[in-house]
Amino acid sequence: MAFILLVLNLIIGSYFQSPGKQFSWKGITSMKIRASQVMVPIGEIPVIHEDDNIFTAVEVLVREYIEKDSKWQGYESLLVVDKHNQAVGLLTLRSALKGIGMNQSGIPNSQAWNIFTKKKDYPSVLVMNLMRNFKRGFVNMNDHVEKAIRVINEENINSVLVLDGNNLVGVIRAIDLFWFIDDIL
Amino acid sequence: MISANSVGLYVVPLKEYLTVGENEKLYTALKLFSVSLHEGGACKGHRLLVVLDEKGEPTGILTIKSILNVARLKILEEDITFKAEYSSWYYVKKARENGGIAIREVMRPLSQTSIDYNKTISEAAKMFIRHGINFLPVKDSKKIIGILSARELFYTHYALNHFMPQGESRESKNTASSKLIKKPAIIL
Repeated sequence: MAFILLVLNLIIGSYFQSPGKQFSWKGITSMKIRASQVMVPIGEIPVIHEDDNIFTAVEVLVREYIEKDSKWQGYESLLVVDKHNQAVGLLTLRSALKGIGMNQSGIPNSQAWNIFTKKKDYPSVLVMNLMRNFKRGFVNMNDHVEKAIRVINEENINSVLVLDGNNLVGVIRAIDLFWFIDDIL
Repeated sequence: MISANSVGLYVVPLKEYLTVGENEKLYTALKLFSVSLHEGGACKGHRLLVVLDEKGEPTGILTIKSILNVARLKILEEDITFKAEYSSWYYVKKARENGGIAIREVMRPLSQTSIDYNKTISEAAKMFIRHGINFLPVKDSKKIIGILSARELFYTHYALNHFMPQGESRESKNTASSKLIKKPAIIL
């Protein structure tokens, strides 16, 4: 029986194996990496309040980027908390770009770029207006990285949130997943 | 004449990116991508490859998201519901069985979305948001001359003017760096 299983394993393995890659069958790779092993722990993500203005947020984003010496470890999103100090959203680089592209009613100037260049005229643009709220883009900390890849693509986002039950414990960025692609393919 | 707010000021010329042939296999691109990422220091390099045709003309770009999408299709091969709704899984599966996926099958064609170099960065930002993309090919007339990255647009603009109003110095502001925020209790 053991011999038959071994032969079957070899046949299936050789059929599905990519050249030069580890054994892989039906998307199940020999490296079953969990979300918790890849994520950036939430304690490392810089924090901003939802009622801070967008300019404060921009400065935190840039400061974090500079302090990390422009390396990929530099975080390009901020954890947004409410007045009860509870996490309510993420301010991503793309969220901040909304400020640049903003050109909607309520902002009395078609030159939307002014939102970042004439702050005094636009004091009311708050982090909560631009952040990505916590309604989408989750995986569980015990999910495999494949789940994170699916969520990033299907939600068209650059990072997924990692939960332990109802607790937010980390963030996985697209760049964090790149290193596992070779195994999956 | 390029204005201070035009895309042309922020574009990275195509020649600054590493290139890969569109008929090369994805595994080749993965290796090149790693090289590109680490150019100039650990993960300081470009997160994009420019794809060339047989004549050396640029035809597409390969990003981390497009590579992740191939991985997603691979993962979904066993999802019966997915198979019923999409045909791309079969295409990718066949391509892989034939010795690997060719880059042209997974790249984002340059013709898909692009912006003129004299458009404003405000318009570019809207396109990044609307299309959910991080890179935007930039054209001069009909020719693609470079790539605008959402990331570089944001940080370069900050480097140029610090998002500060005229007449106000950065030091005079109560900047975020002086504002310490207590770490939150994180419960959703």
